[in-house]
Amino acid sequence: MNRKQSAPSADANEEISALIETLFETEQRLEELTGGEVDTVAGRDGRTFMLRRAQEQSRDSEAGKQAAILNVLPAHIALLDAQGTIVSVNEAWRRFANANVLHAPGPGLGLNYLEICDRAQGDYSTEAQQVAAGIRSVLGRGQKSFSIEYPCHSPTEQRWFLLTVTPLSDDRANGAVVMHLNITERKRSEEKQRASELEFRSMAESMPQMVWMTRPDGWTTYVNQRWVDYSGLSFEESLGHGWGEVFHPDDQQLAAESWQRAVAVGTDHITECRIRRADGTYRWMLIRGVAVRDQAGLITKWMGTCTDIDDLKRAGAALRESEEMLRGVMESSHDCIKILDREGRLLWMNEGGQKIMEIDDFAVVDRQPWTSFWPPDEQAAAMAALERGRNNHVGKFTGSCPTAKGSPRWWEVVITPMLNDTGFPEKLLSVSRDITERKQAEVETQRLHRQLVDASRQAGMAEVATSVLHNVGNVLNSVNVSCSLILGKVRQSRISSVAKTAELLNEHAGDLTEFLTNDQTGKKIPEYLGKLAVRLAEEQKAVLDEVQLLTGNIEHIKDIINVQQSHARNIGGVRETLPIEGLVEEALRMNDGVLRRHRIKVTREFAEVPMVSMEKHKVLQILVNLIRNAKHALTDGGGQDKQLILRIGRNNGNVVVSVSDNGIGIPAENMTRIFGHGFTTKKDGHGFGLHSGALAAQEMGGSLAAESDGPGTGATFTLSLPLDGHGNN
Amino acid sequence: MKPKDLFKFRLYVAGDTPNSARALTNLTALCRERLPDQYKIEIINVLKEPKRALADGILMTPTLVKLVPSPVRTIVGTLSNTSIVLQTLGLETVAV
Repeated sequence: MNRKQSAPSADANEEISALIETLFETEQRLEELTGGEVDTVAGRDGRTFMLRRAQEQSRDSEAGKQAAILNVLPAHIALLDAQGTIVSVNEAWRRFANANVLHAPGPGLGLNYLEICDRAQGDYSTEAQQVAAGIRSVLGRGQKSFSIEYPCHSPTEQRWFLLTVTPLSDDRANGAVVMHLNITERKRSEEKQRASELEFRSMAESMPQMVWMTRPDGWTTYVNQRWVDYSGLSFEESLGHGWGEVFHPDDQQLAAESWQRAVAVGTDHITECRIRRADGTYRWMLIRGVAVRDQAGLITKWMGTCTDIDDLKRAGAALRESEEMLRGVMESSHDCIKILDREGRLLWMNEGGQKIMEIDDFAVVDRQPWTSFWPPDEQAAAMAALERGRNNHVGKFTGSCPTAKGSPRWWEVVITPMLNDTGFPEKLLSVSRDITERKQAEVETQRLHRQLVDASRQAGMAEVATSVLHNVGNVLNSVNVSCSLILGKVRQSRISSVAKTAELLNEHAGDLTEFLTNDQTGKKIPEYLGKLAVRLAEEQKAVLDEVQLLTGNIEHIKDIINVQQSHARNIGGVRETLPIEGLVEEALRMNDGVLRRHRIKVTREFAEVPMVSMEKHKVLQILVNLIRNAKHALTDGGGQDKQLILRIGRNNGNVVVSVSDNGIGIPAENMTRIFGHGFTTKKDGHGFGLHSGALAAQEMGGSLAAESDGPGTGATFTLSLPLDGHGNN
Repeated sequence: MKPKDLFKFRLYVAGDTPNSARALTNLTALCRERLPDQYKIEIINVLKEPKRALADGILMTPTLVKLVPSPVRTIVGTLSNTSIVLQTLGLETVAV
């Protein structure tokens, strides 16, 4: 092609016209030949000539497409030339021109965008200058592209824009495309996201639980400080799956399976497991995880907590255990266990108790006053026990009360306060134990005891009677002796001599003087009468002496009988306050003859003691028994020096009478048996004396004890009687 | 899959000018219908590679060259007349 710089000449013009005509015809003919189906043809040198129609169509469609594309974009786009002059804008730019301070008013075609930015004033001038610098940099090839986010708030709303500047072509500095994109929505949601993130963080940090967050696949992305503090793992160590190691080895598999299942299915996750604390101890945790989903229902993350339930768990276990135990106790209990309110109304009763009480339907007794179940004469005791419970003490009593069906029963009742949290006895626990059998046994024992006592008393009476008879018998011996003596004396009396003398005197009544003075016989009569008188006087004295002894013996018999009588009178168990010394003396007197006959030396060591309240006959019986036993021990021992020592003294609020002998003593093996029924060492003994003595002493609240160092060392029996008159019986 | 001959085509176009674009559309449609999974199309833009067209002796676009299977056949145009195209490419017999 000829490239002349000068204007074409007239000839040339003519030739150009001809050539254009040829070009046109050529193209026309080509179109015809190719049926309009060809866009280009190649020249000889391979150059491509695009046919006009293709060119036009191509140009039109390209421009249209580009314009259409540009105009549908929501971004505001302007094309700047190399100097920054706006040469083209899209629809959005046009529409929005006035809304943005960085836009020129109106479409701004032909205005220099750089100058607009340079001139910007007010709130956003800083951003405008940054934009100008950015555009200059891109236009000057200093930067491949430039972008900036800037706020552009109108009085009614907050708006944000993203500005990007891109060079028009890669290789030549021939302008740039400026695009503004409204990113207010994105900004808002980002703000929202940030705010909610912040909110979540502060919430998570303030929670008492440990809080964690994971990706949808279970990869931990967040834990709160509480977790860090508890586990001792750092924040970074806790991320990912780092926290798996702090699970208790026994729980690891279960917890992992549960978690994997939840993640796979997307259901809420809940599990209990032990997690190691920084100090190495494991505590039970309740782990909850909830899937957070987006609007489409896809899981975006998991959020969860770990709650320390160790104390609860332990308390729960302890509680369960104690409840189970309690239930077991209740079920297996043969006691009637009740809970009463403060007013004593029945709130609850164990099943075993209902069975014992023969209650078919608890509703019948529900809320009824507990004391009302007791018979009138037991109610005072029940009330008192209840009152003690109310006052935070333990109330106890024993009483008889029939069951709901009227079966007679004895109960041992204990009422205990049930304290509430503040230590106030809000309710009362009443436990009634059926002691009917025990009570019956007690009654039976008492009956047997009484029988025994009666028997022993009778035996004691027999003993006393024996002793009386023995004593009386002893005295009767003396009485007999006295009687024979008197009889002998009276038989040998010189009364007959008096009668003979009187007969002689009667024969010589006429010559009495002669007879008395001259007769050999008569002369001796006065002298004889004098001697007779002396003899008779002697005789009288001897008889009188004997009679006196007899009288004394008879008095003794009377005494013995009196003792027996007073014993008989007091058989009703009447207590008298008496000096013990008197009784000891009386017991000695009753055995006086025996002791004297066996030449037993009696020693009295009596201390001053107060008078004692006692049942006289029982004490006497005991003392008589002890003295007689001592006598047996002394006589069986066969020793010459027979000592019986009676002592009276005090010992710990008791008056003590001891009877000691130096007789045969008691072998150790017998010491435990001597008070037993039927035990005796005497050939004709019945083994009842000491036994009934011990029982009698007990009945008076006292005791009877024996001491001996063994055979041949003698023995001491000690009767103790309480000074206050009644012991613990 | 039954082994069949692979068809290799070369289409010379001038950018996305109307006839070239139509030719590509028609060829693709025809291949999909008649030669599923047994064709390969190489597109040569003569505006970008004028030397290549010259070397291949291509004077006009759009031009379709069937390289394989032989014989090599050339069709110029938009390939709108399917029967002529099939006949030219020797595909009529394949179809029958």
